[in-house]
Amino acid sequence: MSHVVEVDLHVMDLDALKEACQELGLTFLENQKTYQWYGHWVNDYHAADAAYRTHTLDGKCEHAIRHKAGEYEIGVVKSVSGTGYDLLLDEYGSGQNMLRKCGGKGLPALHQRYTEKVAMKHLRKTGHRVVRTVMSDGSIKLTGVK
Amino acid sequence: MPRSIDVVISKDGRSVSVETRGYVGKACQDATAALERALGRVTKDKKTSEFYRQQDTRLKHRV
Repeated sequence: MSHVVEVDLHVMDLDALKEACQELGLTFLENQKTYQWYGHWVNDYHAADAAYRTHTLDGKCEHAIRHKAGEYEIGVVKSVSGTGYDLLLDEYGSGQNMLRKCGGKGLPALHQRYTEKVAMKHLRKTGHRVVRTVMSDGSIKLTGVK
Repeated sequence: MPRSIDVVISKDGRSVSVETRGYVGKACQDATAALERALGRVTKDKKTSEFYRQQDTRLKHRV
């Protein structure tokens, strides 16, 4: 089976993505040009987030993200928008382990950490002292003060 | 008055709210515009009534 999805996260800052991966215990494989997946498209997944709609499913990427060796990986591929990167993942089989690691479908934990890193970097770059607070609902609050 | 920016990132990372204090009127937009660009796709940008007042302005958006 090849349930390859395009994750709803447009990456513009690779350093922020690397930091997010590190915090989640994932390995960012810089310049790894292929990612692990089923290996070929078998025309079995057609949801709105199916990656074949926007990308060629050939297992090629610019970088990859690994949970455990031998399991399906996230492919960091050039975005079809022309700037930044898109993330592709085969959710079937061992791809389920990546989903569990990242909080479920859509990889919300990775999404949150990435966004946090981008915001943190910007606030510091613009001269703010930043305090990070994890809220009771699981959201993350960054307070930047000048 | 010290200027501050609160950025709240939802648990799923899809929703980000930005609130500024101590910025007057359009200065709020200027203060947050670069942040919004860094965060990427802005699909919703809502100005509350405070935007039109002085000293306390808010912007909310989703990425």
